[in-house]
Amino acid sequence: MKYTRTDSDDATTLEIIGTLDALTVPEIRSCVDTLVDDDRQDIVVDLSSVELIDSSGVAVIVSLYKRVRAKGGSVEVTGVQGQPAAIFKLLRLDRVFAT
Amino acid sequence: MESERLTIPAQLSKRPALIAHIARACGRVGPARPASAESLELNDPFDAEYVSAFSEIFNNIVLHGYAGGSEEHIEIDIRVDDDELITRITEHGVPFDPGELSAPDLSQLPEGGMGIYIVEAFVDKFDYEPGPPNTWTIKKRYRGQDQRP
Repeated sequence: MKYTRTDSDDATTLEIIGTLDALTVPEIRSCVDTLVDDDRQDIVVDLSSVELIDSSGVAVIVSLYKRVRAKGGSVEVTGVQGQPAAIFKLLRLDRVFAT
Repeated sequence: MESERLTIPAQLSKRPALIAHIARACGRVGPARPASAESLELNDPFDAEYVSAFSEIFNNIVLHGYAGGSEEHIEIDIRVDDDELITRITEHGVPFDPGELSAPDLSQLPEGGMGIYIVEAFVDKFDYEPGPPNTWTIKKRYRGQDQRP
């Protein structure tokens, strides 16, 4: 798994590539924590290059969403397709995020 | 009918190769899928759902049954029978009580407790028998693009 954080004014795009699962979530958790600590208010999580996600990966995205929302910001998730789309639909996250 | 047995340590580091193996097993039921050596291709709903269910079980065994991981080995029996894929996992980790599980309240955006919910939703049949050894069995029949029974 790789990820890239790109800041532009108040907006941040977090692009994740590969597999977001129990094995790789620890690699991205510090980045998520930093986004929250930096008070980023307009965050887009780009999952268009994520081919596999599990409940651990979902949890880290939901955690980011809740914490940013609690500070008055927004989190949008884009590019969900394939297996991640099946998971998002089952967990009704497609209704929460504009995927 | 074809079958195989894998024996691997209960460690998350084994997850990528194991998941790739299960994805290839999925490709042995239903129509031929385009093979890719470089990435997981889970565009078929059967593959996406089966791999999702299996991966949640593996996570549960390693993270909960073995408290994060162990050198101890688990056995994975994979059987392809006509258009049905059956996987049985046998392990000696700490068992859990399925009766204590409840469905997650999705309206509350839970950050945990989703694993077994995903398993039950994505396969036709899920059985867990606490041990020792604990056994997990999932079965799913290929039904084409619409995977709902």
